[in-house]
Amino acid sequence: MTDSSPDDRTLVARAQRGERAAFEALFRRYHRRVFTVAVGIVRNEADALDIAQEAFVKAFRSLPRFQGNSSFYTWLYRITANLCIDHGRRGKKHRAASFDEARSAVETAGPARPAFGLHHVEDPDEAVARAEIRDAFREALDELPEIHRAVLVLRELEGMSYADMADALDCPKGTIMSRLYHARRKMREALEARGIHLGPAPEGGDDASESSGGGPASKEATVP
Amino acid sequence: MTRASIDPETLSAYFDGELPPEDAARVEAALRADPAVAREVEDLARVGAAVRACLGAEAREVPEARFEPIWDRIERDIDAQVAQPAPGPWARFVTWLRGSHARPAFAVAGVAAAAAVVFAVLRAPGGDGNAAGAHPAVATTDPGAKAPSAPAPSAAPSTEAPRLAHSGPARADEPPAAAPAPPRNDAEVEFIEFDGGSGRIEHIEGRRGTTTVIWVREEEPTDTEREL
Repeated sequence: MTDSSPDDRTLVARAQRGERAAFEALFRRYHRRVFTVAVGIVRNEADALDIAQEAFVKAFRSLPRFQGNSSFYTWLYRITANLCIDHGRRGKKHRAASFDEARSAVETAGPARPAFGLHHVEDPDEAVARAEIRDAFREALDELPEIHRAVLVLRELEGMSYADMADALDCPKGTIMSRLYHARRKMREALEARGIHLGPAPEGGDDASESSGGGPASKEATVP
Repeated sequence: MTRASIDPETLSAYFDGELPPEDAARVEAALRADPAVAREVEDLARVGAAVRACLGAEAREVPEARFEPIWDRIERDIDAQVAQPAPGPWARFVTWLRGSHARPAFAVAGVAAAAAVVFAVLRAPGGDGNAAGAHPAVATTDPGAKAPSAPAPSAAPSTEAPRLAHSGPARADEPPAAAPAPPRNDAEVEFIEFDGGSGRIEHIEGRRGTTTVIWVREEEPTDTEREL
């Protein structure tokens, strides 16, 4: 069975001629992916929905100037990423105001502790079905700085090249390379702080004390 | 070639297929020589899988119905855009100035050259740039603001920003009559932003819907590098 729906280039050309149905088709094709990128970066569903809407409105307005030098979705993700970064900047004031409160909460709660012992996660796609694993993934992602989430999401979710990300985030390629490395390292550390070890369990060894950070890692499980 | 000879950033870039061939060959030699390098690459793959799994699960939790209002709002915005009249020459110029082809330095230099031409015309006897035969006046109530009656300030433009033509009296105690709407040929001063910078621009709305730019003054340069 072949896909008879028009490709992006065709739809963009029709939308540039003012065909609203063509732009709606592009919206239907990409709205969820745009939302996923946005929620991955800003970590708030309502804000991500607003950003998705703004991204499409901005794309429509800029459509006459879209030359097709990059693919439509790469261009759309650039717009989305920029809106997310701007959103983060606008939110800094708010976050600064509530910083003392947040710090107080962290000091009370202490560092992250694995709540369910140590899990060795070989296949994250399957493991995410378990609520405690999914929550740990979410918390770890929440913990990353927004600039690190942006590169991680654009790379891992949309496979954007370093050059495209550098263009989208207005920084040199070397910066993207460095951020991506640190984002991955921090993500792994944040997961380990929650008792999630990515990889197979060591043969015959109980390494619960190795990565649990002294938390209640009394049991160990291997998650597919 | 061992793990110690490959720095982790390079390994991360290798995993992404972003290394030049000679560097990639060096990492591949390390992969063959040291199982620890191979394990680190597998770890990178699992971090990526965890991110995709997490975000995929989150996105699936959002019902399609949540997106319908988004399209409705986009349509309303499109309708509003279509209903707007075509932009005039001034709006088109500002759009061009803000565009990626109009870098601030280029814009300032280009407009300065244009200003010299405009002033030459305005100062020439019989020049029709001003119906009263005088120099164009900046529509301002700020006594310190100078009308661009001097030659084009190519050497040292004033750093004093004239008031906006439509920003009202300079002082609260001045009667409103002191700030009438500018005559059609008075220069207007507006704040503008262009790529990486901002400044003020003085322009004259012409008689036939044309716009003459008198001067663009760039404010202190801003850093376009996002602080990421």
